[in-house]
Amino acid sequence: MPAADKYDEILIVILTGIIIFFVITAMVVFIMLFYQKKKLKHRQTIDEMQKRFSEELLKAQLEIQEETFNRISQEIHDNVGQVMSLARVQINIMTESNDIQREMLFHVKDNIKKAMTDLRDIAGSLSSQRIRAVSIHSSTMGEAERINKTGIIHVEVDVEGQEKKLKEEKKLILFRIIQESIQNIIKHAHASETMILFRYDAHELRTCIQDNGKGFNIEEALIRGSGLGLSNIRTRATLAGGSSHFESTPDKGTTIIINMPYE
Amino acid sequence: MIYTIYLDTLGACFLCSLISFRLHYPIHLKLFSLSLGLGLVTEILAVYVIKHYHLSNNYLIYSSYMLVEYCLYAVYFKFIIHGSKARQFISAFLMAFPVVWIITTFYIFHKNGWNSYVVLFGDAFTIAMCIVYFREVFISDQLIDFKVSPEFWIAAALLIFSCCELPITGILNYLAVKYQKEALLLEDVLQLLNIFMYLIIIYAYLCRLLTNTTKYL
Repeated sequence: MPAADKYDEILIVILTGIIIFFVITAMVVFIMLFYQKKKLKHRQTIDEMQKRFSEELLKAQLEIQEETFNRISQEIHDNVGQVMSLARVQINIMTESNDIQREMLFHVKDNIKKAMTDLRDIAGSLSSQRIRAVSIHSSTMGEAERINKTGIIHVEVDVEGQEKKLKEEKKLILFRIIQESIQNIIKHAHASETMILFRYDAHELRTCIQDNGKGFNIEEALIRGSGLGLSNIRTRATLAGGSSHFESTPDKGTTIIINMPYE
Repeated sequence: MIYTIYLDTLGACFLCSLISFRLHYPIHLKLFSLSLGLGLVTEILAVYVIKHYHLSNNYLIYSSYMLVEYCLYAVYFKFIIHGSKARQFISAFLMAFPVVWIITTFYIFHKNGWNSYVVLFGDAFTIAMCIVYFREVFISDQLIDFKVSPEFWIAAALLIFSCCELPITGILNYLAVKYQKEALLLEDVLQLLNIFMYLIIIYAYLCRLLTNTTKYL
């Protein structure tokens, strides 16, 4: 091999080596850039999801609060207010007459007692502390008892399977869903009977709320926007890590199924 | 021609790095700017010495610069690397490197020889520290957007340059004696790599301004 060719060979080997080093290191840098970009994008998506979740949670909390205020106002107006007004009228009649009517006094006493019981029931159904302390089916039974007393509708509660502990937050959300469902049944379904069934499965609690009301077309209701209660139930169930399912046939009643994992 | 472009790029890079003193950049970026300034002074001084003092070579100037340069790199990496073992290693390097420099400069290559061991030692250290830094930022929980991270670009520039520089400067003595023509050509390649490195460093100092990121501003 001539000397010049030998020199070229050395040069080519060195230059090729440098180019290989250059390409490899540049590739390492670009792979890092590319991968980090992907990681950043992934983190951004997670942050956005978390933000959306917090917003939904806040929205649901505000809705629950608003509904609670409405319920307190309605309950006071419809039950306690009426009873207290009657008691006031009875006392007025007694003050205007000269002799004390013992029978009417007993009526007043009964009415005040009823108002106090109503107030206690309202407080019981609103207190989250009380709901947290007992099992979901116990608090639902209490709620059913309260509603049954009004005579508007008959609510029955049944339990299947061995009771398992449901997380407190989930229990509260599920109870509010049940309350909202009953309110919807009273307001819109014109049902006479409602059956609430709790089934404790291996990994989740299945709650089935069934009424014998007029039923409706779920898809139509959701499109028309009148199914706001349904979407509220769905949002809350999802927020608590569960799922919801609705079945309804016009004139044949509605069934709401909520599956809630224990953890 | 290529040397002039290299000097211009180095000058531009140093001027851009001065932005770190105007804006609230962290101290390690200011320190790195200092090493760029020293590099520019060394290049000018090396040309001046050859011209006015008619010396056979200016290796001692470059060798002295390398001592300061690699020590500044070590301090720079000590600021940006958080691992305790790596930081201990940097401290050990800072103590050992001047000793290696004195021994190799005065006893092995003497004042007029190209000190390839210092380059070997310094570049190997720089490459290792770049890899350690990359590993740290890559596995860190805190996500850093590399696109606007001056530290990342400086480490990338140093890694690419050191990996490619090592085969050239490592055998410069051998080439200078046996293959002078080839040695001169490889010197041009080295200048090209220098230009590429300084262009990346220019981007490193300006990336936050270009992308309107206000972390250091």
